Amino acid sequence: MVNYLMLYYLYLRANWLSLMQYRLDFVVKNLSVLTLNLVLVAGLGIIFSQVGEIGGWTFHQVLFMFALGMVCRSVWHLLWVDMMSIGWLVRSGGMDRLLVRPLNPLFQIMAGYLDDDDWGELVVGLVGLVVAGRELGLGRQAGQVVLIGIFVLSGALIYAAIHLAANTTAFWLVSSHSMSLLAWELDNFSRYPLNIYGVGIRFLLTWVVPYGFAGFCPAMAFFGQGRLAALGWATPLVGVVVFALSYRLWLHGLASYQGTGS
Amino acid sequence: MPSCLIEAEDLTREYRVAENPEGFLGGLRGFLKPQYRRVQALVDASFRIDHGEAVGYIGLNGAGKSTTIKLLCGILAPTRGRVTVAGIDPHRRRMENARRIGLVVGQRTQLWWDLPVRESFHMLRRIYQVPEAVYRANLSLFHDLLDLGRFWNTPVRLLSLGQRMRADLAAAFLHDPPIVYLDELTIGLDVLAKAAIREFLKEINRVRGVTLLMATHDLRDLALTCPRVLMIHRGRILYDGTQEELLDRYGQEVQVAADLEQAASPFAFPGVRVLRQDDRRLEIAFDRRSVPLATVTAALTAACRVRDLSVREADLESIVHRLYGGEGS
Ligand SMILES: Nc1ncnc2c1ncn2[C@@H]1O[C@H](COP(=O)(O)OP(=O)(O)OP(=O)(O)O)[C@@H](O)[C@H]1O
Ligand SMILES: [Mg+2]
Repeated sequence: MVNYLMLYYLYLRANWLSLMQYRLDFVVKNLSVLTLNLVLVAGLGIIFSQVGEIGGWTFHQVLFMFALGMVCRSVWHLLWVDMMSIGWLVRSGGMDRLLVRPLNPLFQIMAGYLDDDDWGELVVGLVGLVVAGRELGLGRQAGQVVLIGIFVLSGALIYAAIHLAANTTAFWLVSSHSMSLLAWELDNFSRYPLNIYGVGIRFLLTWVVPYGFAGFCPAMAFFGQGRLAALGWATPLVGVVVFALSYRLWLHGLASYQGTGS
Repeated sequence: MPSCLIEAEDLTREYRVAENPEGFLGGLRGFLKPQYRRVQALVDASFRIDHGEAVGYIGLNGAGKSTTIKLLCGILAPTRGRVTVAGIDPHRRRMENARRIGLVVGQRTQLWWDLPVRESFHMLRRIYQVPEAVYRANLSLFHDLLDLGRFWNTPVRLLSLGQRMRADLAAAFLHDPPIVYLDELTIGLDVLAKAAIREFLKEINRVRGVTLLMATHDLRDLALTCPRVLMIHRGRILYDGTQEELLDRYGQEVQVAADLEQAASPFAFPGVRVLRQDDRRLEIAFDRRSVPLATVTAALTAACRVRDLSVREADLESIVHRLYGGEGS
């Protein structure tokens, strides 16, 4: 375990050195992602200049969950997005390389890559959290900050679990691309409070593809009451359980890995 | 400690290949009810390899060499049969097995693409938990034998193929594995690079006693490095013995091709088979132990007006051909 932590640090360092080989690329890409995310937040502002509330939520509450979602998503994206290349690893036989090293193969995938272009989303998300948090009185106590940190990690874990499951289908389907894309697209629904959707989508995003737990549900822990708030508090548990389930699926897929002919 | 390091018994591996009928409807049917074909890549292979041996593993394309190596590395599970490497099942205990092996696959690198060679070695040292003293000793040996110093600080993506192969080779031996598998590692390399690599392998096998299994379809890869040869054809092991004996028994056939100035009467000479003759060209084959090459060429130039002459030594293809009694590969 200690060894894995040490190695995770070494992998991150190596990834960062690799990124810095393409400095200009790095800067340009992140500026454009930053702009894109600012536009999304501005969109939120425009909506609220027309209506006072969405689904009973005030602007700052929506901004808070929106920003929380961004941070969860970008943490996953920055650290672990390479799980989306599982399909390629299976088709190209690149998985072989991971299997002949004395390390957990999924660890190697999750540690082996650092994304170059989502830092802008992380920055916008963090700023959004601070701005909304101040207005709502969240984050004044150290305990709240720790709690938000735990929610962020749980949310990132949920992102990881969903994308891991979607991309693990590559072991059975010749092309896992459609599944991977579906998981990616469904994420768009999770940006807004789920109670604005019909019961079908709400159910889907809570219990089937649980993006709801990366933003909406933990925000409910702060703003909601009763059952919904309780669901929010369960976020860390849900994160761990969902990831464990995806990991089982992954192990199952890996067992049927055949490699390629050349 | 038993001297046997690798032991395979009736080792068999099948692949399932999805067979999709043609056309849109066929594709749909394939999606709903996939049809599979079984490909037998390795059939009932039994062999033993001892500590310190250097074994050449030869066979034509698709013979099953890479499949065997993947089974020995634990990347694949056997469909049937049994294999142990240093006493353990490499698939069931894959990670444990991984500590004791090195694998080099030509055309595929194990190194970090965007980082200098030195950083990859730094990482590998931590991954395999190589002690500092061992790390230093190995690096200085590899620097001597493979001349790593010339590109030690160059990012891997900028290395030439030959340099990259040398770096990959050193990387596979860094953690002092008792066994190293090599799969087609000289593909695409020039004569000098090949020679350097063969020399390195020979040396490391001699000095360190590292067991080598080297898959190739180029017999010349084995000449210096591998006294013992396993030959595989269509998933079955056809020959297991010394290289000399293989060449002695099946590799003595030479082929001579002559371009003719003008048409000649049909060529005949005791012990020589005529493969093809027309107005412009004559191709013959014979066993050089029963008929010396010089005698044949003398007879040839006496019988026809020869413009150009070329001699082809036995290669894997012709040996497979002869092992099969001329039935073809
Ligand atoms: N992952 C796979 N899926 C399906 N068939 C495969 C797979 N890998 C190999 N095969 C088939 O199994 C047989 C043996 O292949 P293998 O790669 O072991 O041969 P090889 O001796 O290494 O050949 P080469 O010299 O071309 O590398 C071939 O018929 C090949 O098409
Ligand atoms: Mg091969």
